[in-house]
Amino acid sequence: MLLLVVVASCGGPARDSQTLHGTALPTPVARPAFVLTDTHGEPYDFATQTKGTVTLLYFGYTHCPDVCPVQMANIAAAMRRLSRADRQRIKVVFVTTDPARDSLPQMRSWLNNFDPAFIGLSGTEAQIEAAERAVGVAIAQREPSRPGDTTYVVGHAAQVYAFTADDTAHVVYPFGTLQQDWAHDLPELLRGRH
Amino acid sequence: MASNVQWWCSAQGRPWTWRWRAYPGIWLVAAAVAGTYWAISRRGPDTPAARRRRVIGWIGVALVWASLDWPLGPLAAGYLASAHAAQFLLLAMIASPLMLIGLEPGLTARPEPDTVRWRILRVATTPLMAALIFNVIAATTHVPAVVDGLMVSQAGAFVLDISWLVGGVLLWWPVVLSVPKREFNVLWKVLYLFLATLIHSGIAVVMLFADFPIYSIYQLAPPMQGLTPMMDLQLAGGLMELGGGFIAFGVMTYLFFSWVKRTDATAQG
Repeated sequence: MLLLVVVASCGGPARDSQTLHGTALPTPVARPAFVLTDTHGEPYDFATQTKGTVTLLYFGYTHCPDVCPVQMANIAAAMRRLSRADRQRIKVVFVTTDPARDSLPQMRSWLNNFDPAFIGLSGTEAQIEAAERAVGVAIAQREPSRPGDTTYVVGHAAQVYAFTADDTAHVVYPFGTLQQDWAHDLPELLRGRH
Repeated sequence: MASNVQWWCSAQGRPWTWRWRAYPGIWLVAAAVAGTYWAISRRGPDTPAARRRRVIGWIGVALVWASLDWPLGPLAAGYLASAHAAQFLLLAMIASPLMLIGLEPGLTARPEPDTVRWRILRVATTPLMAALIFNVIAATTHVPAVVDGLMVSQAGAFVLDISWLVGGVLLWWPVVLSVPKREFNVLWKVLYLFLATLIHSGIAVVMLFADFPIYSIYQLAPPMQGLTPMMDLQLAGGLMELGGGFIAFGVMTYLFFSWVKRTDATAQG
């Protein structure tokens, strides 16, 4: 029986339940201002339309084979544990780093796999690059899937920025953040902890 | 081509493809298992019954290979907890008893040179010791920190896979083969199997009712179409509970009714 308790309790390193499981930014990032197009084809002013809300911002692409679907799936799984009211207080914004392949309907369809409430944004490459610069993430780069291959993957920032009610991101969530971490932190972010 | 060859299956973090990959280490181990098995199983009389038993034993050897090699091996190593559970079942609960069925009953009861190797085997295959070792292996190799720590390296994944095979052989030894110098009749075997597989069942329950995916390695693995990490974990738990339970209770039922039949025949004869 003791062994079972060990099995059940070894889900990962023990963490302080009071502190956020995300990685604290040495310099908090102010909510950036950029305007892109949402999956309905309407302009989306990020700073205005997410102002004062907990917002998870991620740059990725729908052909991403590993990191993006895992990050989105883990956020969605944790969101499903929240009350409906709390879910509505969090905005998840996915900005494509591959506008050439990610059409708006394709992005909508892909995001619906996780949560229909997730917001998908696209634009020209220049607009997306400007958004990346505004947040301060590395600019996404195309790389051939294999040497000499015509298909490509996109190297992009893997972390999710969590903006809180003070319109500032104090923590980011790198790849490797687990559902358990999100489930712990989302209510804390809603409470304004950072 | 070199990137398509790896000596043992371990988590790679790359998206799954159905493209075959070569795992020479697995071939070597499968060959070693087959060679050792051939050397042991050829002992004893060459009767039709013994030949039938050997065929069953070789099916067990083939299952060892199939459970370690592509595609189940790499799927279990880095993508799906359910494949990992299927691999455990195959190695510890199916291949192991099949291999033992192929051996001469009473193998350890025969007079053999009193070497250290035979003494270790005799001690390790006593029911108490066999059950203890199997349960320690089964419990520790399902602790999330152990799985997440071992599966990322080929050496770690090798240790995990081989420990299941060893644990399975020890678990089934007292049931399939004679236990020396002990009265270990059928009813004891039934009780032994029931008790020895309780922790296995407990691990399955933990998987079935966990709040979150307990293994980071599978939660963060490149996703498999349509299967969330939580569904995958529950499938793994279901496989362990139903598959393991079906095998253990199937064998217990078989042993019990065989014993009833023999007892009736003795009483009537």
